[in-house]
Amino acid sequence: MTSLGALAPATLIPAQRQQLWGRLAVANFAGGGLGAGFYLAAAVTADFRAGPSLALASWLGPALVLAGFLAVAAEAGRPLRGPRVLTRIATSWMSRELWAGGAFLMLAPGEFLFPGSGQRLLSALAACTLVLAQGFILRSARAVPAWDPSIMPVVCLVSALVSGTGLLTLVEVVAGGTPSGARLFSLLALASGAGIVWLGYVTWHDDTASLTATRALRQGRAAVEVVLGGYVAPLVLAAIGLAMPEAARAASALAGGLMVVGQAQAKALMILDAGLLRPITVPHLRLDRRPS
Amino acid sequence: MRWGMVIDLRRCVGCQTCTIACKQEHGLPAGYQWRFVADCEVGEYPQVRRIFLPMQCMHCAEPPCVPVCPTGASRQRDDGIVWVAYDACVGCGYCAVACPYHARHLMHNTPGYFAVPTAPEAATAHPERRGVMTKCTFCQERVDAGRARGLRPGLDAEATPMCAVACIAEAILFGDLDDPTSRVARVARDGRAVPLLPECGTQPSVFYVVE
Amino acid sequence: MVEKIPVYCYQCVAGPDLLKVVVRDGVAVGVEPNADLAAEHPAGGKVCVRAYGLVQKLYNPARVRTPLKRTNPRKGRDESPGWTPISWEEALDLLAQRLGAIRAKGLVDEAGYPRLAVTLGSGGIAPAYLGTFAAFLAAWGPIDQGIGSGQGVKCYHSEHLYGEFWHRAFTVAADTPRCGFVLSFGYNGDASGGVTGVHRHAAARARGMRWVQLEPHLSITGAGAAEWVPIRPKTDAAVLFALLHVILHEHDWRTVCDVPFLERMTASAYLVGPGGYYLRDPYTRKPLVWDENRERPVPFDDRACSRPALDGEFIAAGLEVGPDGATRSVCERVRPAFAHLREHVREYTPEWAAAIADVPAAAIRRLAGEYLAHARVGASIEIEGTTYPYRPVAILLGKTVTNGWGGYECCWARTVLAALVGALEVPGGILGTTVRLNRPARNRLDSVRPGPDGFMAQPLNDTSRDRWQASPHIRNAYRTLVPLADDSPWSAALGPAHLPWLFMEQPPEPWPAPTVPEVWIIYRSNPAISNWETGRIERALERFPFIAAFAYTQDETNWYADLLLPEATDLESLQLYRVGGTKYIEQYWEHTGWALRQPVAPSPCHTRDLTDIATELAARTGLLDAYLAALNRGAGTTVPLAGPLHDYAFKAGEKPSAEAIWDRVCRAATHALTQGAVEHDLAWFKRHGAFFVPFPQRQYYLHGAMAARGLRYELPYQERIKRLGQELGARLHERGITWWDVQLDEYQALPAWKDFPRIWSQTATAHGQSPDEFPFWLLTSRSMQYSWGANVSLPILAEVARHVSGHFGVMLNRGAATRLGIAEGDLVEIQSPTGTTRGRAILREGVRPDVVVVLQQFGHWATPFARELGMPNLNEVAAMDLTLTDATGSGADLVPVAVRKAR
Ligand SMILES: Nc1nc2c(c(=O)[nH]1)N[C@H]1C(S)=C(S)[C@@H](COP(=O)(O)OP(=O)(O)OC[C@H]3O[C@@H](n4cnc5c(=O)[nH]c(N)nc54)[C@H](O)[C@@H]3O)O[C@H]1N2
Ligand SMILES: Nc1nc2c(c(=O)[nH]1)N[C@H]1C(S)=C(S)[C@@H](COP(=O)(O)OP(=O)(O)OC[C@H]3O[C@@H](n4cnc5c(=O)[nH]c(N)nc54)[C@H](O)[C@@H]3O)O[C@H]1N2
Ligand code: SF4
Ligand code: SF4
Ligand code: SF4
Ligand code: SF4
Ligand code: SF4
Ligand SMILES: [Mo]
Repeated sequence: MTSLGALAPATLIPAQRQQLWGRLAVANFAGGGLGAGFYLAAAVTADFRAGPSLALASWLGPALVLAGFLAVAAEAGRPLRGPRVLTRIATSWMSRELWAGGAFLMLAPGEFLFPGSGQRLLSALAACTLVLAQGFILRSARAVPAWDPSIMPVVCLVSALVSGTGLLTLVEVVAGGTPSGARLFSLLALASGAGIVWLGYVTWHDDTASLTATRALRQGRAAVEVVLGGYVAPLVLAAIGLAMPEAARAASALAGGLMVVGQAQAKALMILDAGLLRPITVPHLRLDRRPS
Repeated sequence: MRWGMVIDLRRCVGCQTCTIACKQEHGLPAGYQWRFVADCEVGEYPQVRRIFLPMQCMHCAEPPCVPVCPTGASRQRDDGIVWVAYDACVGCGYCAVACPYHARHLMHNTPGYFAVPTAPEAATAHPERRGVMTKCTFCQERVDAGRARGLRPGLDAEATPMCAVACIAEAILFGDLDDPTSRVARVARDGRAVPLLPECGTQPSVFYVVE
Repeated sequence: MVEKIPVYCYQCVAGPDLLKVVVRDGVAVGVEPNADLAAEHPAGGKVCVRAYGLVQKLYNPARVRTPLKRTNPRKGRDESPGWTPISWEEALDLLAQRLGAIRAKGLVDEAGYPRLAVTLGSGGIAPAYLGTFAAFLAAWGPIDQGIGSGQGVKCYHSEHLYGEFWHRAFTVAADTPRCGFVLSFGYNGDASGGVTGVHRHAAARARGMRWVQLEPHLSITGAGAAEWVPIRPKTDAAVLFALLHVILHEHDWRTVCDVPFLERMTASAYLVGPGGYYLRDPYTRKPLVWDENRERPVPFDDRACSRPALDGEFIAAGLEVGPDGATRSVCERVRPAFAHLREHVREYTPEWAAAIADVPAAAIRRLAGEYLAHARVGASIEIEGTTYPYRPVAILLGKTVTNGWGGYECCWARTVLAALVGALEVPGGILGTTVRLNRPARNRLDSVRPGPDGFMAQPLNDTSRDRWQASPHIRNAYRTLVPLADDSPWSAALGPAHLPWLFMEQPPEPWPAPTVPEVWIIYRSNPAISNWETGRIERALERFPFIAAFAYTQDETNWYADLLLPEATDLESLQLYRVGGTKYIEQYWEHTGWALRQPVAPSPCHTRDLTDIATELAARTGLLDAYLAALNRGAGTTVPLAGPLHDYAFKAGEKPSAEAIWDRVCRAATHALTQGAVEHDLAWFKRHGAFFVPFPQRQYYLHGAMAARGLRYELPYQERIKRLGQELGARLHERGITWWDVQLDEYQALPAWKDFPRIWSQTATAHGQSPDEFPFWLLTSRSMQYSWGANVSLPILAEVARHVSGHFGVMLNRGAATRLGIAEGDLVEIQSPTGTTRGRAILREGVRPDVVVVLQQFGHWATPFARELGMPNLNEVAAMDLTLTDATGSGADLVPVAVRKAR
């Protein structure tokens, strides 16, 4: 009996799924990441000089970000008070996200009014801040162990770059272009690098709460899809593209598509399936006969 | 001054009198509760413990729900009470996912118990809460009004949170944690009382006597 | 404008308690404790979750809003009554005309049963809401109040009857504030003990009292206990007997027991003859004891005898008086009752009990040791200047332990265990709370009057040849069958109140079938949900010619009614009620007095105060003067309006309003309570809510009265019970009645263990099935959020109750469920030999693997909102059966069942 003496810590209220943030929130995290990532990828690959892809990114990127914002607005209880969200830039990452997003929405389309490398640099900076802010939003959601590891901002940034580059490659191939060796190599590098970051995030936890919470990201078909479909497959396809140039277009297009879908799926899993509230525990509790 | 509570789990029987008293005091609509008492089971037959755990806002000294708020609607008073300015809240839900204690409730709508609202439902309706974040207020209205009349929260019922007043097991102590002579401060000091999830670094103002 | 209006709540038998209703601009919006009376009320003027539900009860749109008349003559579950609204005038005329017809024909029918039957439900709280209706009933004449709903026969029935017999304890409570160790066999006081129970227990736990809960599932009360012992259902008597064995055979009883208490306060020393009756002095017929000093038998009350023998064997001469005065001269080896007790429990070893009850022998020995260690035999305590023995140990028994077969054995063993250490009716020990069968009702101590053989007088139903009630005067035949039910106003409800339902269907040879009452009035009771075998109840109801139901909502019983009368309910009507003193379940006040219930806001419905209804019915049936006379006597209100010091009596011919009546009751009550010193009128009570005078704690302990009158507790040997059984058997057999023979076996001087679980498992055999097909025990348990089925129509209570496991489904042991392929939330079918019920699975670790638990009584199909809860009901599968009825006429809420996942 006394073997069951101290039992620390004891779970009193088990983890339950959070109800507040649903598909619309996913749309914001996925859309915002993709939009900002697409612009970043386009700008960097174009060396911040004008070009067809950057032109596309300059309106499609902001459009995706805006779509994300509209989605969260639709989820909010009092959307008409939206502007108030800008007021707490000093403390709230959600304010910062909106500022960064707003700046990006202002600056990126500047491509058509006051183009220039300065404007592009600032837009890229805003895009970067936007995805980092999204990461920090999740990072500071203390109720959800799967969201608050310190690596989260990196996860979001990398995710944005992966999906962005994926989209860029896809549109370029669709537009008739052939991916350069450098592009294929960057795909390969990104997929493998980001894959490692992702695996690190879903496996490397010191506390049981986050470990259990991220289980949904480690196992199950969905998890497999993200790792295989979102990272491994693109990596292999990029390698194939490098190995046999005649297959490069098809391979890179497919890889790009998979990278976009994979990241959207990753965000959905993170917000919905892994969105478990922290279980309520007490430091220690005796199970055996207790003095009353 | 820092308002706090000590809840004695050895006394609590899960009767939910505090739950319903809180609902009534604050005119909460059907399905919404700012506090509830969980019926917890630990262990395996026949070595089982059943524990009733009252849950409410912990009025954390380091409340993660406040800095995250993008509108500043989520606020903390100098006396530690954490509250929501309804007219400033957009209902984004961010503070709720920042609170480790399931203490914040976004009032999507304000349903009644029956097809038509009853007279008391109509009389206690709070339209300003529609679409915004709501939570335990530590009965700040009672505490403030009471103190204005020179009453002592925790000692005089009319200046004390309704759940503590209603509790039929005297399981809930309320008072000033900064006043070393208060009952809450004494129990909190003598080590028998522990906060929930200390690992979250929230420094709750609600403590529990587990055994 | 905000007002706070004081009223009382008595929605469960653990009350009454005091509250204030918050009224804003004429609308009741909330409830709060009555802080003004915190000093007088034992729980600081607080009320429980159910009292907060009163606001929703008042404004519930699903209420019956106006009198309703049935239009569909066909009655049945699938026959809609076709209610049409009628005015109160029509409604009262309709009822009065039916009642008038009865008076014309004669109050009693050819079978000898009253033509009018009235059932008042909810475990005895109805009187707190009845207004002056009881005065109308008193004016009427013979009424059958014994057609039951489960109250009584399902409550602490054996405890009610034997408890009053042994120590004026209609219910037994621990002296919790002074107690240090409680062995609770299924007493669920943290859910059932109300505000005062919870308040006392919580303080005791915090102070470090040790509470051990022996119970098949880990109840609300088990949760707070120091230890949970998952005992097998209906085997408590075995463990209790084993505790007796350990104390009397494994310890040196002379050192651990309270010998002086046994010698002076009990009949332990009475010599028992070979025939099993006391050995008596041939001339005085006084029981004899053996004087160790003078080495000869002397009358029990011989002052010179300082050392009566408790043990040993002696040759003595004397007279045994058996049934019907039969005597027998004896001169042979005899032993004191106590020696017989020791002999009786010799075979009940912990090992023996362990095999039956699934409680380790070591645990039983340990608990017996703890009980003795905590008893502090020899200690004393001073209370209000009086010195009492101090024995801080108590054994408590729950509902299912104290009713049905095994109830007598458990109550007996528990009371003997208390007597062994002198922990009976003294500080720290077990106490009675109230009396219902004895008089005066409001003072236990005054009900202690000298009777035969040094014991208390008992108002038993006579079993002698000439005075036995041969033909039942009401349908449950309590006077005829149950001597211990006595004959107080409560006795009818405490008789075998399910027998009428049983007998109306299958007449007991050679008795005539009980006639169906011509008019049945029902109030705050729902037998079609609360009683066993509800289907049968419904079939019987279809045959009732006229049912008038006071109705809050449509329910399963008034579905069969012809007339629904929405009387003014809790917060809508006037009544002054006696509060304080000591009351079941755990109310021990230091004050006593009167509290008012008053309308707090305009009623949202066309209701009428029951007092006005009573007055109207009296007027319409030509009973007004008799009704006023009854009121003047204090019928219903318990206050005679005229006394030596005051006269508020009504004159014949008056037709007073409710206000006028209660104003006089207020004056008379306060006047009488203060011997004329204080008088308060209704207006005063409306402002202040209640009036109190101090109530000395001396009144808690029967010990004072017993010692003062030099009386003994009728323990451990039950000579009188044995004789009653013999005589009752003779009476019944003289009339060729043999269907009560099994019950007669219960009348034993020293109750022996019988295989109680088997009695229930045999139901299967009786229905041509095998007991093995029903491997689970279905049990019921209280929920703090509900009072029986009384408040199940209130959604707000369901909302908060959901946090407490058991709402709304059936609790099973997780392991057992998994073996049956049942997962959390699955729909399960619970099947017994007589029926099936369904509910959602709730998997718990705190349930025995052979037990399933369903809270309260639900399974409603007509009651608004409740019918949507999808709760199973034990009563749908529990058999109503003579073989499951014990000698006191009670049964128990447990059923052997099969459990499977529903398809
Ligand atoms: N909240 C609330 N309080 C009430 C009432 C109510 O409806 N609601 N009703 C009042 C009335 S009328 C009554 S009669 C009392 C009843 O008061 P209690 O007897 O305290 O009530 P229950 O919880 O029904 O039964 C107690 C326990 O008996 C256990 N049990 C069942 N079978 C056995 C057995 O064979 N052995 C042992 N040891 N335990 C067993 C069950 O697990 C259950 O938890 O409550 C009164 N108080
Ligand atoms: N399964 C199971 N059955 C049990 C028990 C159990 O524990 N489990 N307990 C048994 C015991 S111990 C007892 S004492 C009995 C009690 O059983 P009952 O005496 O039948 O009491 P209730 O079930 O509360 O029925 C009360 C009825 O009155 C109605 N009512 C409520 N408020 C008012 C009002 O203000 N006015 C009017 N006119 N009507 C009102 C309600 O709608 C309800 O239908 O139940 C017994 N039955
Ligand atoms: S309990 Fe939650 S809501 Fe309350 S202060 Fe702490 S974090 Fe904020
Ligand atoms: S829901 Fe309201 S209070 Fe909470 S973070 Fe959003 S704006 Fe602030
Ligand atoms: S302190 Fe007030 S608001 Fe908070 S739970 Fe208690 S009663 Fe509700
Ligand atoms: S009122 Fe008190 S005892 Fe009841 S549930 Fe609330 S805290 Fe626990
Ligand atoms: S315990 Fe019973 S009487 Fe007391 S407040 Fe609760 S329901 Fe009313
Ligand atoms: Mo009962």
